[in-house]
Amino acid sequence: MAPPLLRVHRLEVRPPGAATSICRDVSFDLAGGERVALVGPSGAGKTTLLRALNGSVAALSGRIDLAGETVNPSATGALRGLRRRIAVIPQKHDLVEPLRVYHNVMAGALGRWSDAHALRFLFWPLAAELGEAQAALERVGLGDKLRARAGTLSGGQQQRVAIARALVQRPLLLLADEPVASLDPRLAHQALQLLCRLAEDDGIAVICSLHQPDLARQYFPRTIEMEAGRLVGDRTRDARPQTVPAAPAMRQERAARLA
Amino acid sequence: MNAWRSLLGTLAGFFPPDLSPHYLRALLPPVAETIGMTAGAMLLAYAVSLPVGLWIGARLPGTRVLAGLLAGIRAVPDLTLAIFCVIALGVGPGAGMLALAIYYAAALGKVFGDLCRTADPAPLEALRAAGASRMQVALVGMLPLKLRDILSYGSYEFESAIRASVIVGAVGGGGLGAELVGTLNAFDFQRTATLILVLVALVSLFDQLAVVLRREPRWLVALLPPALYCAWRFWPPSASLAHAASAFAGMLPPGLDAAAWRRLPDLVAQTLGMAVFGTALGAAAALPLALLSARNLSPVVIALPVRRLLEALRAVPEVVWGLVLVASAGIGPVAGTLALAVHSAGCLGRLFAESVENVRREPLIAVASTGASGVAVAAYATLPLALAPLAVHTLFRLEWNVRQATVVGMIGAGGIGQALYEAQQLFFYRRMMAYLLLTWVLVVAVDRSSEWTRRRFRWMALAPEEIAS
Ligand SMILES: Nc1ncnc2c1ncn2[C@@H]1O[C@H](COP(=O)(O)OP(=O)(O)O)[C@@H](O)[C@H]1O
Ligand SMILES: [Mg+2]
Repeated sequence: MAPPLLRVHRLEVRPPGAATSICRDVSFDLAGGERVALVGPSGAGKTTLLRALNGSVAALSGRIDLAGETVNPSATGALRGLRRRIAVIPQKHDLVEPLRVYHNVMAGALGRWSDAHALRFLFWPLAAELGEAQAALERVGLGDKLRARAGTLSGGQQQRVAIARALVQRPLLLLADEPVASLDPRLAHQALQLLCRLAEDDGIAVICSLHQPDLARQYFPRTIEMEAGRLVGDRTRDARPQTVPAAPAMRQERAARLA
Repeated sequence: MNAWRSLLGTLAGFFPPDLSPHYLRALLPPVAETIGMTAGAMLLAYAVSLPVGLWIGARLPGTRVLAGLLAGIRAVPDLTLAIFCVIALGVGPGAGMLALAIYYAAALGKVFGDLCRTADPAPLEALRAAGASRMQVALVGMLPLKLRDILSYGSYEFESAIRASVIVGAVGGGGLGAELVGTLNAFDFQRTATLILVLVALVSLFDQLAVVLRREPRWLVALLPPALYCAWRFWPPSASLAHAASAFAGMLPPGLDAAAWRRLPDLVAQTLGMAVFGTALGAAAALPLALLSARNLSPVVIALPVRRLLEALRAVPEVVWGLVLVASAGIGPVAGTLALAVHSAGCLGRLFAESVENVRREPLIAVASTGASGVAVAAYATLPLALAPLAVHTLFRLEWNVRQATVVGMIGAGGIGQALYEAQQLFFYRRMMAYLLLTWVLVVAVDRSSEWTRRRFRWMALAPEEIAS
């Protein structure tokens, strides 16, 4: 059996400033390309768990392995390497509004670009790079917004730009913290549908925290439930394997990235 | 190359500063005079600007004229105003105090007027409904509602006032400024260095005082008796006030001869050039310093020393940098430009750092979470988000530097300022008035274009305490 993409083992997290541990004894595995919803009441520790997974807060004890490597966020180089392979879609609008949409989308590539490359793109984007941004935008249905200022987009559009940025990052794992909390029900369905379909196409694993259990059931084969910092439930919708096999080309590319 | 070597050579002559007890003791009287001038001037400025601010805030008859008058006075550079007072009243701290009082009365009057207009309308409406006149509404409504803000803003100007009092001292207004010019004329640069250190210490002392007063504006009352004493002590004798009126009449009407007219384009170009290049150089130096001193970008071991450096750069006023640079780099616009740039770097560095620290955190976190390096986060999130406030601060600094370009001109950096000073030295008072008028037109023109630019790009307006610096 191949090792899982992500293995969380007896994780305990106490963010700086917190009096007690916010996550305790959290253990679960996630296979490559698997999609799981993280549900639980407000204050259960969902955000804290996601922040620990991308290294924003250090674990007090326990272990996180990503693609066979143990995550050690205290080493800066290692932290950047980890973050490059994990994309984050935050809850609130977090685009850099004075910049153009293509800047925001290609910010997803900053982890693999050198500083010189990043500075050059800011002022002098090449056609190939704009093409990559355009392709990502078309996948989220914003093909006509490449050169718009990010600040002129609506809330829903800004979130789709954030999804395009995550796609450009070509991550192994995508973390979304209540991505639909600020959207009305119709837009929430659209956003989750889009997110799940794109992740499936690219073979990206997803952990998505959600408030609404019905949305979790509808879009995610597996649901993990948190309460007061602990995992209290881990249900898979049916017995069939939940992962959708990735296209062969995609699998090769992912294998190359893992190596 | 040689110019640089001579500059460095002269600058080396400033070390070590003369810290002998003998000289420090000799400095006590001029320090006391400078503090006294400032205290008296601020008291007079408050006494005038409080009623004027209320008048404008309440929109009593004549508000337009009054506001225009204040704007006109504010467009006159402080040193020019001081020269004026020195001519009219004779050399001494009295002239310096009055120049400062006029300048700060105009500055505070405008801000107080603006503050009064932001008073909560509900209680004022209630007073009006009860049949109170506009004057009564202002006195029993606006004043109590806004007194705290007014006192707290006024104390903001303390730091700037002590710096200005050294400036006016340099053209005959007494105190530390007179001493400073004396040491430079005697090539006694080690003592110049001492005086600069004393000035830095005084400015930071007043800065601390302002911080305390902003928190507890009531304590201003404790400063009232000594300030009253100073105002009384330095008040010019009535005979010289009478002389001032006739001196002023002798300056009218303003006029220039043909040769002066021909020189005019050059003078304007030099003054504007010093302002523009000084601001640009200062902003270019301020940006990296600001990034190094921003709490959210830079580790404390780097941020703290850079902060101290910025404080030192801005504690020394442009004109003092100008005196030092003219003495070491020679007379001309280059010294003036550098003087403006050094002080601007200090002021803009702090303001830029604050703007960078105040950007929204969420976009920064989002960009950092892609695995971007520190440089990439700064380039793709921090700086773009801080760009608008940075531009606004730079434009405000340009407005200020047009005034200061005239001021450093007077001490030998060229342009209109130098022409003005020469006219004064030769007693060509009508010509001097013409240059004064020209300065005023230039300042107003630059202020207007800067305002237009800010509107055009919709760069946000800043809170008054952000502008004050
Ligand atoms: N840095 C911190 N300092 C203090 N308390 C914290 C910190 N981070 C999280 N908490 C607390 O931990 C609890 C869980 O927070 P969070 O992870 O945001 O839960 P959820 O996302 O499930 O709503 C909350 O009660 C919150 O106040
Ligand atoms: Mg949360």
